[in-house]
Amino acid sequence: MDRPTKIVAVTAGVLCCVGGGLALARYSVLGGDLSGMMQGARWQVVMRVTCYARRPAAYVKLLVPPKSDAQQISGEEFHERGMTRHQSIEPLERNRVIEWRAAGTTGAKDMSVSFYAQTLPEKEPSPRIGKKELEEKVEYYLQATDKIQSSAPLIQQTAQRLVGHLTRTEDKIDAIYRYCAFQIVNSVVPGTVDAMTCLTNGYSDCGGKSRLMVALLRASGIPARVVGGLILTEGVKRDTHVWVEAWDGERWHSYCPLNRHYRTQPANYLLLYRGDYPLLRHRYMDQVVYDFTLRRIAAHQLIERGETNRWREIAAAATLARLSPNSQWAVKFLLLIPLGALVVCVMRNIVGVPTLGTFAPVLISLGIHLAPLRWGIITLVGFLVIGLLVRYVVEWMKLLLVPRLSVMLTVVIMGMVAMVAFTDQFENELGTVVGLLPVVILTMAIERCWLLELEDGTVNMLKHVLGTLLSVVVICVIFRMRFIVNSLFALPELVLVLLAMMLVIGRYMGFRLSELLRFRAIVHEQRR
Amino acid sequence: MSNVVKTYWEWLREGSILCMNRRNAEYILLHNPRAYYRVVDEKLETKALAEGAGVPCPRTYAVVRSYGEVGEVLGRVLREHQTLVIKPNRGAAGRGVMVLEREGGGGWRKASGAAVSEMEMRYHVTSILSGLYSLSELPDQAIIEQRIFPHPFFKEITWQGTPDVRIILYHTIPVMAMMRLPTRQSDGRANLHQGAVGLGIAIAKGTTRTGVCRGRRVLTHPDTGAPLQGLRVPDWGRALEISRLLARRIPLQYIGVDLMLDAAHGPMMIEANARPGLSIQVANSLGLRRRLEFLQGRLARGATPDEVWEEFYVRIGNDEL
Repeated sequence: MDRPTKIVAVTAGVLCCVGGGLALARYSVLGGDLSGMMQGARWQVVMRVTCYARRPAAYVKLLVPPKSDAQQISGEEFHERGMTRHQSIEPLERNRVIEWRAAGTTGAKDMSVSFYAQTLPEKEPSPRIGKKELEEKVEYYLQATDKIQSSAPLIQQTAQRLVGHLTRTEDKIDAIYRYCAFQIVNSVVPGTVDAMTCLTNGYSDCGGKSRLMVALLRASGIPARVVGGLILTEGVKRDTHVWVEAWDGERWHSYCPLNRHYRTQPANYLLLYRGDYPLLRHRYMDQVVYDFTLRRIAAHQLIERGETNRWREIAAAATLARLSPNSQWAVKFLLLIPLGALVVCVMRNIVGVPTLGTFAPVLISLGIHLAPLRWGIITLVGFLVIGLLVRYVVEWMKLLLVPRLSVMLTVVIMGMVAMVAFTDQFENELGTVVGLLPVVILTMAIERCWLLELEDGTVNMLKHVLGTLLSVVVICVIFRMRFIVNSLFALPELVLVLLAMMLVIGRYMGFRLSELLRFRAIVHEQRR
Repeated sequence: MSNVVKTYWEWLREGSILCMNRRNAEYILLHNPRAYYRVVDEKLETKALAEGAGVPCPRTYAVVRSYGEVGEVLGRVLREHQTLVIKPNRGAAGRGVMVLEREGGGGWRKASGAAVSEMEMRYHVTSILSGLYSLSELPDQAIIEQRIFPHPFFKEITWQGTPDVRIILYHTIPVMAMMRLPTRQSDGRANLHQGAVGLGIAIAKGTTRTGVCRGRRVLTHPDTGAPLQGLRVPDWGRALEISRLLARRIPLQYIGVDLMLDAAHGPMMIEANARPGLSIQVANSLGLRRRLEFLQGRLARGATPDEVWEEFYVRIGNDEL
């Protein structure tokens, strides 16, 4: 073994031991549950209500958050003065209701509930429930109400226009979501806005937009409901937030047409209730005032409270899930890059696939992996073909390099804008794919294609294009393996293992698979 | 099927073929310090070295260094010469090379016969300056130089274009050689990717060995039909000599030297390459690795390159390596 190989062997070994060992240790200390490591921050929430009871029969009803796999609620404590408290669960939506009764006295009252909440965004937001269970309620979730006027002609017409040509439930939900999220303007509106008002105004807040989305879904025959909760941010606030849950045939999925969350309940959303209810209902009460105090809990406070021990905290300390949602998104995106780079190493140095630009497949995959693969590939091929055509036209004009690249970049951008505008009507996912494509990289890829075609022939150019597409497909498939991506996110030290693998490939001196083909003439010679 | 797998397996185990990963890690990374790449990447530098070493190379008519002088320099050269070649200083694999000759009417045409206007030439020069054909796309300079007319030897085994000879040298010792013969498919260019024929040369004997075109063995030129094997390469001794002279001046230990055999002036150095390709093995039906490891072994024992070359020359002459 020569010296560089020895250095690589030792370094790779150390990296593997450190990265893998650390990951294994944390994994076992944290109880071997990957999703447990994905958990979001712990929050303390205090909901406080003050009011004045005019009559002895006065009451206040408050909805408190349901417990589920997706959100853990613990340490619930209630305080009240001169009131009696009853807890119940609504039969239909299974909301938890706290009812405080004035208990035969009048005057100033105050009451509060405090609890600890932790959201687990990676868990399915709602358990898979049997069709039978839904069938009992399906009528209810398709009904028109005062504020969700799903049977109104205008709503019916709009729904027909949006989804009339679509067959799959998923596509219908998608189209309606897009309409409510992007066509209806976000705006602060006083009071409660119903679906019809929202539709005719063309603008609304979360309530109007959510009601409109539910109304359109119900008008299209898709069970849907409004849900309400809190957006977790530090401080004191009075605002609650509502969004939508729609039934896709198997599960309820969350959609927020105001903040544009598609098919997911983000980690900073705490669900308080399901259904189009006010959070607080009361009778014979005056001067009702309520607020929420939200506070992020630091790890040492959890240890003091005995909810965790030091080892668990140390093991959980490096969990990126403790970052804010925006940072989480950024980190998840960044962590994909070393993974993609490793795949490129394998594709280039072990398989021997030529690509247009070393890391272009990684950047392209980052852009398209969120959309269905076929759309990604169609878009990509479309751009290369159109780009190459443009390149041939530009060649007649004999332009200098930088202006020529700029011209092509601009034409590619025009193509993208046209594509987004065109596909927008059909409400499919092409827009999102196109928006994230690395345009500059693509332009350079087109130029390289053209040069390859000119210099080394069409066959060689096609080899590079196919090699790039193959690499993109492989990388996309790996990017979509949630297990791998979640592991990297929960146990970021695994990047060290990736690094070790790259080092090892860096000293791989054997044949690339493609070279078996390249040198086949010699092999056949020897066979003879 | 199992037979094929078996052959491949034996071939892999035998390990006489140099593969891309090993070439990069053990030869290029180890023997070619990055700092000296410019000596071969920039043709003007290589030519300066060659001239210092008494290695013949095409005469430089002019160098275009900036956009401002394109018209003036090109105009002057076109007035003074009947044939010329425009090429990028930092090009690779024959990219951006334009071979020109004057037509009867005073206009210009390419070697392929297509007419070229002065405007197109200017555009070509500015493309070169902007770095279109340059390695790593850096801004470049354009060289206008003497055109090589291929030796009559090539007449029967070439379709248009100018064939060239590639010799790979390790520590100044020629390890393997081939010639690249343009075909109709390669559009008259000596580029194996585009379908030119790679024809191995037995270094010690100076005769041609086996040919390959697009990965397939060929015994005759695909266009002219002339047999390819066993031809005596003209001026071969001189070709080996000038490649070794040049290699001694280049501070890289694993290089490819490209020569052209001119009808009037004999072998001339065209360029050198710090990352010579591996297809030469297919053209020769031989692996580079066994030869290189033999040389490494001898050099490690303290023999000088000249001593090793003498022994190596004899050995390959006897087909021992």
